[in-house]
Amino acid sequence: MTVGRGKWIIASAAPFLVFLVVFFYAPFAYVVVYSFKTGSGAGLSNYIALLHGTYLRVLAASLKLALSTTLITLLLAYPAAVYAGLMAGVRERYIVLVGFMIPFWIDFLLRAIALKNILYILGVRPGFTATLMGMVYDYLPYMFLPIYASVSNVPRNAVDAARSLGASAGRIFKSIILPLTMPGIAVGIMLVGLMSLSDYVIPSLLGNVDTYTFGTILYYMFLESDQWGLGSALTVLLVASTMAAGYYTVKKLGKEALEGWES
Amino acid sequence: MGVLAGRWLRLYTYTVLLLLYIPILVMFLYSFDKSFYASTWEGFTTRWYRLMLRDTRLYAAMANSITVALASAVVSVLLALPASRLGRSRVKRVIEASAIPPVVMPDIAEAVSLLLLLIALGFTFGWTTVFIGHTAFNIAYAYLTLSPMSGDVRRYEEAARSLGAGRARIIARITIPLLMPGIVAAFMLAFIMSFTDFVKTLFTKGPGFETIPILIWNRARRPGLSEFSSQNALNAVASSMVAVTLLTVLLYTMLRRYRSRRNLGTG
Repeated sequence: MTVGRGKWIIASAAPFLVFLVVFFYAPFAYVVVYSFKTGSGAGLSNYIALLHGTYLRVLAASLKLALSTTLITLLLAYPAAVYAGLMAGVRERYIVLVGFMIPFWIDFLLRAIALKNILYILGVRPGFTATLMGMVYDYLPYMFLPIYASVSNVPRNAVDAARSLGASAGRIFKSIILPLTMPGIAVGIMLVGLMSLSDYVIPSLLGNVDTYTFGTILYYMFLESDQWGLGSALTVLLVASTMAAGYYTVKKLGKEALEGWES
Repeated sequence: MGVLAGRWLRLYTYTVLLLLYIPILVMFLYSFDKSFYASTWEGFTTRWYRLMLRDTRLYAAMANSITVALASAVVSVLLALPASRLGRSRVKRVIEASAIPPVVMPDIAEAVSLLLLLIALGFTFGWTTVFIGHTAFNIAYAYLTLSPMSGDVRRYEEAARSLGAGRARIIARITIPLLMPGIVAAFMLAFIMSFTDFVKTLFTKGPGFETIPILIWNRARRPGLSEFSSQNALNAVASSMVAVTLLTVLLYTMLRRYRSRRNLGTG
């Protein structure tokens, strides 16, 4: 018996590949083909249609929401990650880490429902601000955890050495902490940026008719109006930008930066 | 950095953490309030939880959620397990690479693509299509949970064989015990991913089919429709789900810790 090498075990792995190919890769291939379909043959008309003023405004609104979410989560998560990773004692670090991990496990939808109470209490009406608050609330752990991972890799003795040589707090931050935590920042921005760009749940619950994300636009195109061609082109754009962002991050930072985010 | 900066950062950190927990706590609190939504506190009641008990639509959604999640988790582990046992080879590298995109791709892109293909193939939307949609990402999660440990298991199997153990004995004493914690972890992860999934379900369910997340969303979108869709009724349902999630996570973490301690003990 040659466990793991025999032909039978290769064959037994086939159903896995077949399932993935049929129900994950084939749909993408189909959408790519569909996005180039026009009334008479093949062409770029769906992509060109996306450049129409209405769609450009809608896409710009999605970007604005995603960028605002990313920026605010970064501002909230970064100092907390620096504190937990570099300044807190072992016990306190564990408490803060678990504190950020628990909401990570509670489903987005449930957290959005929870936040609705706060919006009622504060009197925030459905719309851009409410959606932004919902996204910040839901995605904060996704910004915190990768930054925390890179902060905890900053060698403490480098910080101590700089301090004993008379470097100011600002100097230590600028020359040591910030450069060494860049990979975590990049991963956090990529994760939160892409998730808020493509989100559907939060804007559908906390937004109004003027709150746009790629998610709400795709929902509209596929389920509310039959604009499948346009929707396919937009899906291809979304997948392409995800792949580009992922590729860029891996290339720039090395594979380690993404490790632990695969499973 | 200075002590002062440390003190401020600490305050900042705990403030941010507090912001994460306040909505959950408020939700728990108001699930016991007499009013229809979080406004003024009108008094303690278990009304919303009692309402849940006679909510037949909730039961139907629960049945769908559980059967889809169970089936998807079982099939995912069954398909991913043999794939994860492959030795180093070209096939292994292909599988390894093919398992990443389902985990990192935006779920909405996956969902609309699958929708389009299922329509083209003439599927009837409902339980089966939701199951297919969930399993398409779950097999990747199951694979990525199982594959890191396969090398270790193989080494122990080879060691046992070189010491003269028979095939049945290797399977009973080495393979199954060493794989079990991974199988349980992969199963639980797949179950949670399926049970909590919203977007993939929304696009593959067709009209009329509901899982728990879909039901909550349907009601949250029309809060004034009935007492079932009032915010505090939703608070009760969501609070119960949060409680179940946290218990499951606790169990999962304990299993993982148990597993890593075992690995340390044997290796």
